[in-house]
Amino acid sequence: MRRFVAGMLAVLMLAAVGCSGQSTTAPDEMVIRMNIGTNPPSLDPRVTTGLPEAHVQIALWEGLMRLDEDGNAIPGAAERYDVNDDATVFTFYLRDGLKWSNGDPLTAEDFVWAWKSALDPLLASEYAYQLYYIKGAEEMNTFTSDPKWENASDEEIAAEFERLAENFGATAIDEKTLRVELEAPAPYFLSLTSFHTYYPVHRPSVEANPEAWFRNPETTVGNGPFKIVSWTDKEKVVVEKNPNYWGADEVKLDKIEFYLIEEESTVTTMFETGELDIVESGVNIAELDRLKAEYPNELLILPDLGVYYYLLNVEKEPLNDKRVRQALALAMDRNAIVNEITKGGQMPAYALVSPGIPDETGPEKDFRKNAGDLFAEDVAKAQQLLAEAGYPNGEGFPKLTILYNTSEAHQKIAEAIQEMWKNNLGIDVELTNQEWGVYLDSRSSGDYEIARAGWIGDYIDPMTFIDMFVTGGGNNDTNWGHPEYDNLVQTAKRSADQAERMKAMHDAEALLMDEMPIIPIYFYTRVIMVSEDVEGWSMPLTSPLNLRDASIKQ
Amino acid sequence: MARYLMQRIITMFLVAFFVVTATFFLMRALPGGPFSSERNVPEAILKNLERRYNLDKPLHEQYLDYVKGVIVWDLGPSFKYKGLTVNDVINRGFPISAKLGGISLLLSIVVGIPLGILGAMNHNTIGDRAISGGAILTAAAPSFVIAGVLQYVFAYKLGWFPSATWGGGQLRYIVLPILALSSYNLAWIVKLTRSSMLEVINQDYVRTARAKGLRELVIVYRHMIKNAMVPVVASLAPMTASILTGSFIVENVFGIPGIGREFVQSITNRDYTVTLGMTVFFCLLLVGFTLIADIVLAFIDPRVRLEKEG
Repeated sequence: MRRFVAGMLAVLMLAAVGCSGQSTTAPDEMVIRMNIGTNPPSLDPRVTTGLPEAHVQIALWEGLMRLDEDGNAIPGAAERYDVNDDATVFTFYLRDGLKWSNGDPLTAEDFVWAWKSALDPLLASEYAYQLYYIKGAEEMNTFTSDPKWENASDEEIAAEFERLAENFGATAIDEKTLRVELEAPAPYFLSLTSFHTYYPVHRPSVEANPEAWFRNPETTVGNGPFKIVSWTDKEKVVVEKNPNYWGADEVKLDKIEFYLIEEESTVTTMFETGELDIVESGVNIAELDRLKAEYPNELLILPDLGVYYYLLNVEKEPLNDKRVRQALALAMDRNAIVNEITKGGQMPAYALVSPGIPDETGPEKDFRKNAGDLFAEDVAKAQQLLAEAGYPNGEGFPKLTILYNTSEAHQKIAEAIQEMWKNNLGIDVELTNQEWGVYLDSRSSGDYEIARAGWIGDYIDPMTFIDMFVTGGGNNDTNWGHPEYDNLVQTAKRSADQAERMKAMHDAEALLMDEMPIIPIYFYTRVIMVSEDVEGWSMPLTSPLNLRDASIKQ
Repeated sequence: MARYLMQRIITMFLVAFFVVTATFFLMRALPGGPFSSERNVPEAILKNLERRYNLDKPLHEQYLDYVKGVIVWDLGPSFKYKGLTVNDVINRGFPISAKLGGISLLLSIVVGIPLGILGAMNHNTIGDRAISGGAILTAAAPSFVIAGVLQYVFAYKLGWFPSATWGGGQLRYIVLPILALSSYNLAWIVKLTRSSMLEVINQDYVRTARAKGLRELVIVYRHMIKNAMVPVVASLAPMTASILTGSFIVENVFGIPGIGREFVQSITNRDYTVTLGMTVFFCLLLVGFTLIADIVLAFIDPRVRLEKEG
């Protein structure tokens, strides 16, 4: 009987193998297969917030500007631009003969409409605030939070929105000229126009099916180097070359298949069997040592614009004492954490703002390098600080708890820190983990003492980190606030003078690291795998992986 | 019979109603919401979102709206997946999970029952021990281990099959997930069949049949299997319902777009409508299959009557 079963399985398998061999793509097509991880919640560039879908969107759309491989803004849909002296008015000149992927002409008005519709409170885009730099945008999006609109009908809200939109800072001067007036100087606005919230959307297609136009290839009309072929939920998105793209001559790939597989071990196996060319998401961290050894040229560790840190609830004793907070920060061995635990090439963090942000006002041209480390690990000093705070050798120190969301990686780090504090300061802390949603709730309601946190910057400017910790800020869960800090942030936000802005932000960061309401631990990296045959791809800091200029070595 | 059926169907809907109600309020009692994230959404935008998804209404109104929707089988929009309704999610994922589960179940039955009988008939021989040992081992191995081993051997080492994805349900794509998914149920059916066969093997009516001089094959086929199948059929009902609604682990490992993953992920995402919709759907399937199993049992087991005598 066992033989029978074995025989049956063998027959079944052979039959299946016999069916294989048929390929879905023609042999002379140039196709890249890349895993992006999770199923996009949407492909509407106005509402999405995640990186997985941004990889698809950068293939399907193009903003006024796009980023080169180093992350510099270069002309995209716009051929050139003007900007006034205080960086508050930008004028973009579109290229000649721009077309949508369906052949319709693309005009400046399309950009205005797309931005305006992204701000519509009835669309309720989570990323609408990315457009708040534009004059009038914030009010158009947020007037509904006034209680008087609470019971208003959709029609009333739409009417008020249209009224406010008359003063919207973005206007089409003619078919090819777009004028954008900003609320305040924003030198990085140029790079922002390459971000997906600023992509244009095809009005007739969107209006034909406002809820789900991006789920139908017919109405998913874009202006990027590729156009959509199909999107099979939870499996893959397929795009092909868009002949109507202005730079179609420069696009060498015929097709990209974006795989949507989450399980890391599966994704890594698929790369090893040659079923994937690029793993943007899903390199199996558990096997990192082996992968580093076996794929030295394919496994890449790229910097990321992000920081892993611990939040301290400064309203809880004894964390209300600055010396205690400093002692905790100084009594950690960050190198051990990145070398022994995370292993993904992360950099120990001794400040908030991650490396990679340009700062022309200093010798190193990099914000982080110009400021250097803002504190140093020093066990003796930490012990002294703790003693000054009234806890010599950790005596009498209350038992604090480190909160993290349930995950093995966070747990290992917390355990290491628990031991470091025990050995270095003689204090005991407890660990507690909570399911993601519960953890977020505990954090934002201040129901924690020490909590794990992570932050990925939105745009390449120190402000994307710095303004998190203003008093009462939406992402400031520490309950910490400092008038001087708030003033520095305001100064930086109001000024168009880079020297003044950078100085204010350096000062703010130094103040934050002296006050230490947060303990930076390491700066994130992105671990990806790219087949050696793939050329011409780029992935500047914070950006999705761009395959516009990619090709496969023949 | 008709009255019995009516009663059962009414009970089925009552159960579904209680499950919906309990799940609705339990979900809402959980901290966090569908729009919470480490990057906090500004308060004003949160208000816009709550308005758009009717989360700004009082809870009892939301509950009534939801129940009304369920009655006409409109399970509402997903909060996480824009432009998708829960009905879309089920309509898209269920056929895939059902195909995978259906084939796996069939395989488990076709292979498992004969193996179990064979084991029982050769009680305490080497063959029997090998079968029950193998079954215990398979049942004890977590499915992600089995899935991982299959993937490693047949996709990575031998290269016979693709490592993952559904591939539109083509045979070469689904062989490994089917094997992974059927392993546990196969082992379970083998064990159950074997033990219930052993139970009937020494019963009086079997001995009577033997004494009458019937051929062994006839005894096994006509007398033993029919009775031995009672517990197997009874356990098939929940097994079918759970296997058809997909397996979180197998679907995750093989990247299959079924609905097994939706349930678990929707809870993490606080995608209330998806969790509720899945619960209702699963509940109806489970109760439905239990009903079918009860009816089948009445036919094969003379001791079971669907309604009271008289």
